[in-house]
Amino acid sequence: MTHRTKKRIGKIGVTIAILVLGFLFISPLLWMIIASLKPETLIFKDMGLAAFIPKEMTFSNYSKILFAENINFFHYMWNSLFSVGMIVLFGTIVNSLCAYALVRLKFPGSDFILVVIIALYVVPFESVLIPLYIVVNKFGWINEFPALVVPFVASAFNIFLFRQFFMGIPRELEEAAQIDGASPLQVFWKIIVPNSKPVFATAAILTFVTHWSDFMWPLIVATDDSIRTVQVGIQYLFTDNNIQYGQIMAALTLTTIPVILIFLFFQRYYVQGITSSGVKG
Amino acid sequence: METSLVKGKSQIKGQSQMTYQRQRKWLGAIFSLPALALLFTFLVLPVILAFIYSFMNYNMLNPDGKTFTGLENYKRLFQDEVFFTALKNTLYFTVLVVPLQCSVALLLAILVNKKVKVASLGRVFFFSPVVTSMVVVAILWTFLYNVDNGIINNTLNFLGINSQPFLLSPNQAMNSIIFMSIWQAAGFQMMIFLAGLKEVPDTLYEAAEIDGANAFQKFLHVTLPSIQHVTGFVLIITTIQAFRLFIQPYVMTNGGPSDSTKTLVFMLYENGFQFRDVGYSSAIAVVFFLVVILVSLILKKVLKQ
Amino acid sequence: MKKALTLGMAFVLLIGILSACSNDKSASGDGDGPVKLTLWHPEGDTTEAYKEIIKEFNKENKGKIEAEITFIPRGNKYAYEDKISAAATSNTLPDLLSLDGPNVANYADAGIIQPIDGLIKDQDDFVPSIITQGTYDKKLYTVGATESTVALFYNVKMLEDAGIKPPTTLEEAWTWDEFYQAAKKLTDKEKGVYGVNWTLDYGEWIIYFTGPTVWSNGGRFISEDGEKTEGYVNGPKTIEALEYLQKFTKEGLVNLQPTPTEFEDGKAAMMLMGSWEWTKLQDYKDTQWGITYYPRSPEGEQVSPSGDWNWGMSTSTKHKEETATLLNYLMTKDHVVKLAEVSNKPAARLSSFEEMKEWNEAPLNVLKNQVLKTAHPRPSTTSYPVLSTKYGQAVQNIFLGGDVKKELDKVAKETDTDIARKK
Repeated sequence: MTHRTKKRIGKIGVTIAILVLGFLFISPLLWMIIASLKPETLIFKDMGLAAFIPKEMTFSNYSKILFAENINFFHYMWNSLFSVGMIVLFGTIVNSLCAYALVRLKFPGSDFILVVIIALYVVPFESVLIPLYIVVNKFGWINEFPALVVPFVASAFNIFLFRQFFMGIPRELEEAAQIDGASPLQVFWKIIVPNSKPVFATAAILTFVTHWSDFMWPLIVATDDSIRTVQVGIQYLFTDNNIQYGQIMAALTLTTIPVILIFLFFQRYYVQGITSSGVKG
Repeated sequence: METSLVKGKSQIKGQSQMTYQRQRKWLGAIFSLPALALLFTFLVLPVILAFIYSFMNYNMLNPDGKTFTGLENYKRLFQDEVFFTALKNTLYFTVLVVPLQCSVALLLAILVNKKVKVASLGRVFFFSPVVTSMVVVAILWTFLYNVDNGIINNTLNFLGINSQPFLLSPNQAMNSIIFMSIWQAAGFQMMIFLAGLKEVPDTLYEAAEIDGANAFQKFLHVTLPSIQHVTGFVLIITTIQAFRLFIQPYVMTNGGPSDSTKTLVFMLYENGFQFRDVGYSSAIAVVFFLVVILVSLILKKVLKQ
Repeated sequence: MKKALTLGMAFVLLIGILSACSNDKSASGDGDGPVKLTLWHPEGDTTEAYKEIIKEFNKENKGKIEAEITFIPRGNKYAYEDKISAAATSNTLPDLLSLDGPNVANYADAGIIQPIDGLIKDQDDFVPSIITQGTYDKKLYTVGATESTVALFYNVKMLEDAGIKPPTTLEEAWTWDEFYQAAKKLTDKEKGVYGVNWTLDYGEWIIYFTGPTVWSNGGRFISEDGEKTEGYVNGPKTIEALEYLQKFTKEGLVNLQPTPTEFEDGKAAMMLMGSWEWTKLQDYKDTQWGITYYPRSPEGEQVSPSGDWNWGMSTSTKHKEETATLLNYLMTKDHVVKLAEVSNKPAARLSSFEEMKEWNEAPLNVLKNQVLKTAHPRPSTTSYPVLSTKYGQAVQNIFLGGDVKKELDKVAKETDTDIARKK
């Protein structure tokens, strides 16, 4: 076998593996999408494999959510996009700067701070929910946008993530820039950021995903319809009785789409990361 | 770049470097200030409050009536059978989920890092469970795990295997949650691995190929060592995330059957919010925190070896 | 380290200043102009109706009172209650809040709602069970517009085919054994048809729907004074009741993991379900259904569960008089009719019931009769959340084959610990 055919066989193998595993991963979501397209009365008639055969397809579950009298789905969607977008934007800046400082601009106590930050990641949100509410209330932010954004800008997870990747960037690159007279901020902006695009993309995506599905906190701090997020907004579907599963599945599908789009957007930075990477030299 | 690098090394010396270093320290504090200030206000401060509450009898609905009770909550905790069950369940989940999920994630990352046409499609497929809301996904899976009508039992029957009770059996409920959790979260770790793999220079692989290494040897001798810092990170964060298991048992099994899926965070939530016993809940949080720190330290030691 | 300390202190200072500002902000709300009142209610079927009622109220009281209602999702399980708890920790509760019946004792005891004795117009017109539910420590704390109950729904055709005649009057209601025999006869394992369907939801549902079986047998969940569950929730009568229910699951007369529409799809012949289910059934045209009474213990009395959401006045309200005006406005006969109709629930005012004609005929008359004649409140105790949750988990295990006594012993132990803590 020549080297080329070997490579081709390898590629075919990888393609098949991706497709098979991909199908396994996506099939529960396919179930969800098909259920969302069925009339409520048929969803549980065939729950098993037969569920994958679409019958009496209808968009009524979608139209009921999008044009519901009591909720403004698009407005909630915007609120979510805006608040989560803010977290991602400020979070990426603040956390990457902090991580950079902890890796390269060490100051007295910085190693200790790093340990504390990693330890903070351990804290489960459920255990600080009430104290956090008390703090946020002191700021007078109940029912205000900052309550949805400010507490989550700094993230122990992201600082830890950035640190781990900045450590891998060769010092020589920075030193060279320093000698050319660049200030630490310039070094960060011109050397570190371009060389760590995949990490920035990862941090942005993971932050977005984490906060996109937040439910408990937005519910507690943002009662007002004007700043209600989409995850809270769609919860009206879980009433005490007559839960409309078709609409829940439709709502879930609708709330998933923007995240997939954002994901596709950030994904190109992975590709860019390879070509423009100075690490490769 | 090469030339400036060589030139630079000889230029940096003595006095100028000292000032530069001092300036760096100063700037380091400034750079990290925004993040640290925010963390302090919105995380450290609440943690301190929770720590104080753990020594109190504090009814959530009656904050003015809270009283100091010393170590009462901790004493109660160590006499509580449910606590030890929850601790055991949490450890069981973590020990199984961490290696499995990380291996799956690494495999997926390697697959979608290959230069094939379906790679980006694969990334979307593997990542999409992560982006869906856990609460609804958990409801979805209770349908998939249904004994009589669920898709999974349907498939098993099709393959000639008997139906399994899954969530209804104390022996299978936790394993069912483990399987579902890996499905849901592997894409998360995959993304981190992927960012790591992107940093491995192609030249290393090319060199290995010239030496006649096969795919597995390349994985073992090039990939793994190159992403070591990422692997350590992924292991630690997956461990911590595993410890925080809550929504799946909360929605799918309510901690049952027979407490077989009750976890520490479940217990913390149940006592804090449902029973409004902030003191006891905070004590659970403190012990939880210590346990996870301990496990992380052990993990770090093990990883170093 | 010194720097870090300075930083930390600067931050504490900042929080202090900001909190001072926010306090000023809330204090400045008490100027001239109309009195502003806020209400919280779970989002649901009544949302639109409440919006209209509040709009009318604001029109009628223009310049004097201005009410604003906020609808909060209940989410999966207890999201609404969690929100109330969070608000209670920092005095951000509304003037009037809606709460589920079993929370009355808990909220009243914690002092977040206040007695409304003497403030309610035509109090005698409310169905007795609503007043019982709203009463804690001999004082009235809440009233609500609607009631609820659990009854036995049945598939008309399946019962006919099996030659089973469901009771049509309260006096003829099935005894435990008659119900069991019917379920056994109707179960057809080959066709995958179950005799009875009951949901195994994890929230409040379990104590709500199994309660009548316990009470009918003379059992109790808690002592009369609400101080002890040992010997009650695990007493012989309660154990007997649950052993009876366990028989259904052991013999496969009930599906332990039913689909949400098992009865509607003709896969179960009967269904023990909440009064609200009849509206959903109307979407399933192929299934002809009827309703009969909750089965009773052979020697015991006939009982049915009761309780629904009601309104309580928060202790932190600064306008008690106006809040009472608003509450009375919500609870007028006409508004109760309106709210009951949109939520398809039995009305909580006797005079309103009379106006809702369809409740006088079969099948809905069964629900009405239960509300008026056999309603039994859930236990009134500050430790209700622990009792209900632990009991629910125990019953879940019992249905899966667990030992009844052992499971209920655990409930007694945990609940009594909580009662002791609250003292």
